[in-house]
Amino acid sequence: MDAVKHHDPASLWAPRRQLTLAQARQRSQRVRYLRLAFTACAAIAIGLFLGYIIRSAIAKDTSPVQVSEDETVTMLNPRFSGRDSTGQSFQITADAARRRRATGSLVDLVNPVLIDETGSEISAPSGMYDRDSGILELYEDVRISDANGYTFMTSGARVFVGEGRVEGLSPLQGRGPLGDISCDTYEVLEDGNRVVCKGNVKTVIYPAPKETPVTGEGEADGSQ
Amino acid sequence: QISSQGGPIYLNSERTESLERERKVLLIGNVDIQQGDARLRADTVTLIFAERAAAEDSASGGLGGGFGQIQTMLAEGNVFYITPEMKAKGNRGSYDAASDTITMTGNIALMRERDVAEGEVLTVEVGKRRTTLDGGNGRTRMVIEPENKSSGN
Repeated sequence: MDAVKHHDPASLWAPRRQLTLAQARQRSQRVRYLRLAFTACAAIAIGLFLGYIIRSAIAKDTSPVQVSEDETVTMLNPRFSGRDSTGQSFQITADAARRRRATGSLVDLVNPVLIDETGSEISAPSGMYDRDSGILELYEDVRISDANGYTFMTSGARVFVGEGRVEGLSPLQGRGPLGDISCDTYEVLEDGNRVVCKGNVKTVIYPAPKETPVTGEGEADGSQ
Repeated sequence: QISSQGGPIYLNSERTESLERERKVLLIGNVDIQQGDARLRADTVTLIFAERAAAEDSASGGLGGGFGQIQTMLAEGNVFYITPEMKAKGNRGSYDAASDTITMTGNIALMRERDVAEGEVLTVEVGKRRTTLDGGNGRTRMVIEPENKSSGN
């Protein structure tokens, strides 16, 4: 049946609507097939996904990611916290932590900072933390400062975090309200209560200026 | 303070132990303390500090946090106290900040230019620059070198 010619000029712009019956049936069949195919694909995808979850849940010994000897694992902004032997909490943060060997608990730290409850802080550009033994070694420019304005500088320190003890591996310089100190090696014990300095110990104490008593007697005798 | 001049106190030793809670600093081995024109030497010296004034004590704990001013100094073993005017030697010495006095005991020998005196207890009032020698149970002994006249008689 021929398409009816429209003499109405407006119809020239209208889309051709009339499909022949066969064309319409063909189009419906194509849509039906596409819908069927889409549904089948969706079902398969969901099946695969559920299957993977079930398989990994069932699998008993899920083995950890295997890291070979020379590969290192790097953590950014790591944070280690814990309590020392006297129950004081401490926290070690760093810019990055690189685990040295696949099996060991040694971690190389970048810009490590150790802070304890009393507000004392130890920082350095680089360090190494052994979580098993609780030892934090700090290298290069090590700075120890406390809440009362004392600052100590050294180029090496070994912090026994669990015991609240610091061992000086190299010369120490310190400054604070009471005075200054420098020595060859040092040890901080009992969570800072006891500080032992050894070898060429030089201390400077700045006593408060003495109030000169205002007395009537102008005694300025030099008699012995 | 071991000198009437005051000023920073320079302390050298082979080993130093700072005990926070007891507010003590132990100086061990060849201890050499200088302040102004005075000098104190001994085998060991213990410094005992007063408590920090409450206003300053912002937080307890930390290294050297509770230390106020020097309250007492205790020197043991080969104690020498040297000033431009005199030299004194004894077994023990102590300085008390409250009374600003150094007390030396045990086999005291006091030298001033060429004059020598011996006794048991020497007391030096640092601020007043006054020195007193006591014989303890015994007597003090003194040797004074008269000035040699220039005419040589």
